[in-house]
Amino acid sequence: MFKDGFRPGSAGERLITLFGIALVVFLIWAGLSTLYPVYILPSPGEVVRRARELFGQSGLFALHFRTTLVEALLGFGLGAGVALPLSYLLARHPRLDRLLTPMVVAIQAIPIVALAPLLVIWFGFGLTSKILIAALTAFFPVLTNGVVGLRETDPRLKELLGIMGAGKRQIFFKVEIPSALPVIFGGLRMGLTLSVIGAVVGEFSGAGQGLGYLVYFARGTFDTPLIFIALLALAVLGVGFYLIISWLEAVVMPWQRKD
Amino acid sequence: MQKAIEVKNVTLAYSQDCPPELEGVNLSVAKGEFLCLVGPSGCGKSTLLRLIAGVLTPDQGEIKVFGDPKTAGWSRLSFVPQDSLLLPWRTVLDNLLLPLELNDPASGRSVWEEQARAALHLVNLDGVEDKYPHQLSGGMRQRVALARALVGRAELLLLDEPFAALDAMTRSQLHLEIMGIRQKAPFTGLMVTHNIFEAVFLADRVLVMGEKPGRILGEVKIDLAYPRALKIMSTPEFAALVGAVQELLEKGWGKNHV
Repeated sequence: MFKDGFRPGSAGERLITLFGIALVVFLIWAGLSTLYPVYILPSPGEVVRRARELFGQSGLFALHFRTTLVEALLGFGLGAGVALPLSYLLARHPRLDRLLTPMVVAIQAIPIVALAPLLVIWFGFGLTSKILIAALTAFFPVLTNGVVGLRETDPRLKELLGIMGAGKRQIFFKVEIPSALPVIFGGLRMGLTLSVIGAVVGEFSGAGQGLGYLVYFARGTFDTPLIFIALLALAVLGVGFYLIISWLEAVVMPWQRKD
Repeated sequence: MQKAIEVKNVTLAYSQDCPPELEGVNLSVAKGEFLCLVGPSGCGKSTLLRLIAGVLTPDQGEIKVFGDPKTAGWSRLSFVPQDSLLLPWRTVLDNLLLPLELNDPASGRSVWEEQARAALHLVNLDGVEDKYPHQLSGGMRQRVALARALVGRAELLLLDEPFAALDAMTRSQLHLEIMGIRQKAPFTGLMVTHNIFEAVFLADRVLVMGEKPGRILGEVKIDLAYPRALKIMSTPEFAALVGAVQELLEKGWGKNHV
């Protein structure tokens, strides 16, 4: 089926597939946009024109992009910073787990969209409320993955290290942490991506800048090309975060690399 | 001669309702001796090994390793599990450093590495230092586990069905490997196995265990000369020893099954 040098699943094939899909989507978009007015579906040309206009106002786009970036990163840092040590405590002490987990689940069950306006009222239109909302969205996946990862250490490995004369602390650092890392990273990856959503939800609930604010503002003025630009920027942000985490994973866990 | 292991009248029960896992078990292993424990599954062979390793504590009785009742700690005793249990995130070399990191922190990495490479050489595995466990075959992983048990100053190896998961050819190779290592770097060994031929081929003595409750039924002394080659398995002497072990096993079954 495949000619020489074109193995299924190779990097080249994936790139060509990706490019193909992008081209098809672009053509459908361009075709459809001729049927609708700009405020419903702007043409690619219209979006490029609006982008030029936006980038022409020096520093304006950068300000919105940077705002969302900072909110998401700080929110993720806070969420993960609390979730990781807590996951260790919950994995270690089943009693604490039984006490705290129902509360954590209850908080998690409240949709963040519904919680965000309250946090904006409490903490204002500025950075703080956005960081807290992003932190809340990132918190849960990091916590659950941390608990699962730390709990699922092979008990035979712990026993073997015990026979070797390792203490609890040594078993923790030499076995439990490394064996939990792949699962922990799964949580971090999800948390970082979700923190972007959290930041945008926060901006929707009341803000003066950021990519989410840009969408909110553009909706009010029927500036659909601007919405497209903001969405594209958010996608770039999410993919960027994803790539950074993937790179970190490969650096921290060289044994996971395929050979 | 100094005893490497002394187990005196050991009893262990996991709960009151079941028959005890082990009842009145006595055994002793002399320094430099290689002893095999055979018996049906569930007779408590592995439990006995874990008691000696210090992971479990007996309800009654006494266990001494090199005359010392405290047994855990790699410096003199080490463990070879069935499925190698190498740390997947460590290279072969780093896996071998693990017992040294834990027990000999003063020496430092260059000394450890020298000892680790010597242990790898002992099991005929030079050149795989930088590979990860998942890049090795099952037989090679088991060799690394053996090397990890031999690294440093370990004098007593507890082997828990170390070759059970390997194919017959690889298993025979590793039997010869054990034979060779005992010549080059003598150690005391206590190995649990299901395989009577393996037990007779490797051991100085074979202890036969019975089930429910786990107990020692008897022992067969293996007075075959060293070094032993695989073809020894086709001699009448070997067959007679295998027969003697089987007879003991059968006696144990007779009590419960006939």
